Amino acid sequence: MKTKEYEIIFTQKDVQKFVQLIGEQNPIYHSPEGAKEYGFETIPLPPTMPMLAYKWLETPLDLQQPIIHRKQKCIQHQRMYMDEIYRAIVEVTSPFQRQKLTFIKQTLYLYNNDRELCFEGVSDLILGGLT
Amino acid sequence: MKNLVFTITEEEVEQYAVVSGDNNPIHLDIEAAKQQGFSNRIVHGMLTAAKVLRLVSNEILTLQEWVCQHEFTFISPVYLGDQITLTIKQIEHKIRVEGKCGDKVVIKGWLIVTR
Repeated sequence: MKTKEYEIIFTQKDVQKFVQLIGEQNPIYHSPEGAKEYGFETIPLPPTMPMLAYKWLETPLDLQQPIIHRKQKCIQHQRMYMDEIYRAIVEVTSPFQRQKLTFIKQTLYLYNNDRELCFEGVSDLILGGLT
Repeated sequence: MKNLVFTITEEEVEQYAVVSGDNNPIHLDIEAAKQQGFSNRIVHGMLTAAKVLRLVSNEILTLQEWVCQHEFTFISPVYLGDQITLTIKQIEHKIRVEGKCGDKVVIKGWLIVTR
């Protein structure tokens, strides 16, 4: 089951809030000038930041409490940058039930404007239920 | 091999909920956490993962290197204020990490580094 496609933009403010929160010191994440000094055109996204796309989209199914995050795999197929337009889709696969709990895989796909896959984030979740 | 220590505070969990939009009550409400069998509010798995990657980025990698792939298993809950000791082993482009609170493994995984 898949969501519709959402348009996502990570702004400089989003990146700054995130790197301040986690204490990231690498200058490439702090300013466009810092990024340019190390050969980037602009600020790249830190490795776990694409997962924040969930903030701006709805998951395809209603996940019921408790929601426990069991495992996470992320692949950045190409470097992603602030202020670029990405297209997000979420897919839920492999649901199964054990006792009173539901187990699912929820995958976030982020594509660039040329429809190239930039990011895949596969989350293994344990839920109270799924509707 | 390298060992590093970090903690995640209540304030960081609250800020992460705002930044990520993940308002799951097990992170924000002690009563809701207790109802689900936890002894306290637990840290978002992705916040723990982000902190681990930040430590690897700041302490191990050069400024030109970045993590293009990672996988973490959240083995046991991390509670607010827990001190996590992270063991990092690097073999060429692959780095294995394991985080423990006391004797209990809470997070385990690997990451691939590229330039």
